[in-house]
Amino acid sequence: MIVYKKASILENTPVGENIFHLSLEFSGWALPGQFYLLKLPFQEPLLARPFSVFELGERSIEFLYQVKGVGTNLLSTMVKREILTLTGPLGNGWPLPEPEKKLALIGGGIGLASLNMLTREINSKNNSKVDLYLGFSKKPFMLESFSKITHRIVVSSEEKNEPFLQGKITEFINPADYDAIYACGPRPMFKALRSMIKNEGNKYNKPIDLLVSLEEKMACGLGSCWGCVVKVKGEYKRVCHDGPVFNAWEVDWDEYS
Amino acid sequence: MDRYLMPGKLTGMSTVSLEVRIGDLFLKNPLIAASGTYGPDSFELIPPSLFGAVCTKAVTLNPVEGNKPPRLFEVKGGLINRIGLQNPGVNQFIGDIYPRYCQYDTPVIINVAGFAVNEYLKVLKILEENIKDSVIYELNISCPNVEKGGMAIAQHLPSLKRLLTKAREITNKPLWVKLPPQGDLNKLLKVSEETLVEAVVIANTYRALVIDKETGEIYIGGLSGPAIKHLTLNLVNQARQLTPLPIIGCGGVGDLESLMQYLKLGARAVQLGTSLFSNPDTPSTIISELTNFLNTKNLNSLHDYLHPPGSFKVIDKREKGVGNLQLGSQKSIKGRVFNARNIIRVKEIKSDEDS
Ligand SMILES: Cc1cc2nc3c(=O)[nH]c(=O)nc-3n(C[C@H](O)[C@H](O)[C@H](O)COP(=O)(O)OP(=O)(O)OC[C@H]3O[C@@H](n4cnc5c(N)ncnc54)[C@H](O)[C@@H]3O)c2cc1C
Ligand SMILES: Cc1cc2nc3c(=O)[nH]c(=O)nc-3n(C[C@H](O)[C@H](O)[C@H](O)COP(=O)(O)O)c2cc1C
Ligand code: FES
Repeated sequence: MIVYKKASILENTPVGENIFHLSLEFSGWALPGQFYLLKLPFQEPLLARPFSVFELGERSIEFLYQVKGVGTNLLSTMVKREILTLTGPLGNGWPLPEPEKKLALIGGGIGLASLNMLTREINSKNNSKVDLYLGFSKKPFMLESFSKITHRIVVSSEEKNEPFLQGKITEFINPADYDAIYACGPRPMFKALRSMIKNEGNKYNKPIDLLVSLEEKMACGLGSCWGCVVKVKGEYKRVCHDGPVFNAWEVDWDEYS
Repeated sequence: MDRYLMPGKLTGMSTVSLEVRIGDLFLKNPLIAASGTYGPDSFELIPPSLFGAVCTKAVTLNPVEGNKPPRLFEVKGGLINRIGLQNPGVNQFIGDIYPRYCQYDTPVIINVAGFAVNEYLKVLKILEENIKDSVIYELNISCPNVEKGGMAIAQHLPSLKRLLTKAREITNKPLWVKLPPQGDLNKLLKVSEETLVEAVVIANTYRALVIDKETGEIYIGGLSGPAIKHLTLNLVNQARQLTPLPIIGCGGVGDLESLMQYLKLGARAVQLGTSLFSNPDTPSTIISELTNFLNTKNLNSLHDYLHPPGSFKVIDKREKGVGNLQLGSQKSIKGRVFNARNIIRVKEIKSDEDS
């Protein structure tokens, strides 16, 4: 059930350069990869902003966000006990992989927010084998949190950041090792992945599934305004309702540039 | 308590009628969900039962792909959208979308759009043949972000006249016209009066320009939200002086104050769109605040507040849809059948005979 509910800030702290960890007092639910709209208690910005659920506790919900523009700037100045309004959970979320499948999860920058619950969920319930790849342009963040839920992490940074690998994360993946790749991050990362995987099967000569979580500006977040569309199989689909997770081989990437 | 008159949230409060009359039909409250901002996928969070009526997204004859993204730009005080009428066409609307509205009692307004007069008319015919419920048609001649049709029809009065005249021949159901905010209001209203539409919706979004910060691209779309409220209030005020047709105000309604401002200027009801995005609780908040307000004034109905006994004003025009303002006629109409329609038709005919 989708709710629209107030939540008070428990914690809103920087965890990296322009990256904040926001924790709210909230009893809610969400599947991995789903998101909530967060509305600030001010007239501007007028619209709520979408954020993936990073973690869900019994009485709390957590988000990770990068400061980008008006909304996230304001959000970063908010303190404990201030109130936000949440709408959600929204969107389809990541499908759990079939058991025994070998899976790579790839998070580019703040895109890792959408993979935390999924990693934990797969490791605790599902016996597929999952490797996590996290790529950062600058200093890596939130690794401690991920290291609690998986030991199979590859981390890279485009800047020199010992002890991490240096370069784009896509340089360190061998797609042929996997049955499926789930990715969330900036558009150039999707492009790199597609060109690496395209037309190639994995080492068992099976096609590799590539699922991506896409971002678009939103108004309703519910599927009614048709503002947040991407072209999928020749038709405009709503990121908030039909996505945000889409089969990358069905997305019209020439449109989504 | 009458479930139809009061949203569930208000159970326990004293019953106040928020009913309004538009032409010859009654709505249980003056809030209408505006076209394109609300639909079946909103029902779970914002139930149709909160509204006096709900309007569908624009329906066209053939499927429309819509504009290439980006489609949304938030600007100071508002939202510029350029959706481009994306919809699956009238047949799929009838098969897949309309049935989702039928599970609720709330009256449905079907927003009809097209790229030429004949397209609007074909859509109406198909709807008439397939939908037997009492729906309301809202002719959208004011979409600012498609190249043909939409606002172009409003700018060519002979086309508009042909559209409205023929539409009236096709259907007996209430026909509303959603006018553009830009254009000769007086002429648009005269054509609407002459062609016997039941009500005018004033107005749609305002054609506006935005420069994408990231790419420098220029986009044209429709501006909605708080930024347009005072512009549209002005149009409603002008229209009130120009026409006896019932007016539905639409632009920037987001709280009780804005509703009351529109009603004060003579609108019979309002539509709200953008405020459903910024706060999905808007309709339930307005309804409960309005109910409280009337309670504190010891009034039993919104009607008594708007037309206190003694201030009865007759708008004496004989066209259809312009009946006498009826004092104290609190018909609570349940379900999808607007019994009031017949009652008032009879009255209108009577007053014709009288003269
Ligand atoms: C399903 C989904 C999940 C998301 N999850 C996260 C998350 O977990 N953490 C996080 O930091 N960000 C996430 N985003 C992106 C986040 O919503 C935007 O960064 C945010 O809305 C920017 O708001 P702003 O007011 O700061 O920026 P604005 O001032 O509105 O714009 C600043 C810049 O951000 C871009 N932008 C604005 N809205 C969006 C948007 N909805 N998606 C992408 N870019 C946008 C603009 O084009 C512009 O370049 C997610 C987006 C979607 C669609
Ligand atoms: C995303 C979006 C889509 C819209 N689609 C339609 C439409 O299909 N048909 C129509 O007549 N108006 C459409 N409108 C206009 C609204 O119905 C309404 O007239 C306008 O938004 C002004 O009201 P508001 O300020 O309360 O939003 C749309 C508005 C928005 C924001
Ligand atoms: S934000 Fe309205 S349809 Fe996605």
